[in-house]
Amino acid sequence: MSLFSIWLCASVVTYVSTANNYRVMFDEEKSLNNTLVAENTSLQRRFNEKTALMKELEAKLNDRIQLLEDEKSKLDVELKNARRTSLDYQSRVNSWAGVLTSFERTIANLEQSLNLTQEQLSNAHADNIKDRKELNEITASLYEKIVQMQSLEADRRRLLEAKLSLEEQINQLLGPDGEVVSFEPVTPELDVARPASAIGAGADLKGLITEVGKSLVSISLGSDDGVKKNMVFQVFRGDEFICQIVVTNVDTSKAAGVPELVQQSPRVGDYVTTRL
Amino acid sequence: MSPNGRRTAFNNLYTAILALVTGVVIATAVFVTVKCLVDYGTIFKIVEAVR
Repeated sequence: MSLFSIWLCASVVTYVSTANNYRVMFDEEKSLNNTLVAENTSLQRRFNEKTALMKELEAKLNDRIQLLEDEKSKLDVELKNARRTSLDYQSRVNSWAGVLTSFERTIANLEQSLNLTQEQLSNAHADNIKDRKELNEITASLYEKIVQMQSLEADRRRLLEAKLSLEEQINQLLGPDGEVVSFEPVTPELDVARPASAIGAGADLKGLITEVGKSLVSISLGSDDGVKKNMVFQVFRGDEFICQIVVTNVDTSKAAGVPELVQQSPRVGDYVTTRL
Repeated sequence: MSPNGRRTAFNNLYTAILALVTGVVIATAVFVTVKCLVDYGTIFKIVEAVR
């Protein structure tokens, strides 16, 4: 009985000492539960906050999406307009290309005609120089003829005076009763030289500047040469254009006019012509 | 039994064993009581869950 009691006590002590402390475990589980509840509350609050943020962000994103949609619509319209404008500009480019091609052809034709005109101008300058040489020769021969005419006129006057003195001497020799002797020249008297008929309006007139005044310029051509009032002469010095002269006063052998389009001041001896 | 009428122990060894067993039982009871007080805060009441 004593041994059984000791064994029973030992069993009880062993059981109680090895039994779990459920109070401590309960306290631990309770604290863990409280912690989890607090964490759950915190997570729920954070979840609510995140949900609110998400809704706010969603609203902002919806607004931004709406704005982007509007901008996209505007950009689509602008893109259509830009494509239409591009097509217009493309058509303009094509038309301008055609115009440019025609301009190039026209410029080529103008260059060709310019070359022809330059050749004609060179030929005209060569003719002009040739005509000037001929004119100078004709003028020199004219001056020579004039000198010859003046000498002949002096001879004629001298012969006429000799004839008169011879007639007086013969009359004195025949006496007062004598018949008055008058000699008729064998060679008939020639008519006075007259200027040539007026040259037609379309003829080319060439002359020289004989005098230069303040506002008037005199030329060596007159009404006998066909010069008329308001006729226009071109003045050249060599191949260089000097000015134009509009005739205001016309005499028989000379004329005077007002210079226009003056490139350089005209000088005596410059060459005038009606032909360009 | 003793001559003066008093009962006497048959053997002192048995008395010592009984004393030892009694001490063991008492120590066991004290140990269980202390253990119950330390772990559960009560001796006889059943622990209930507090919510």
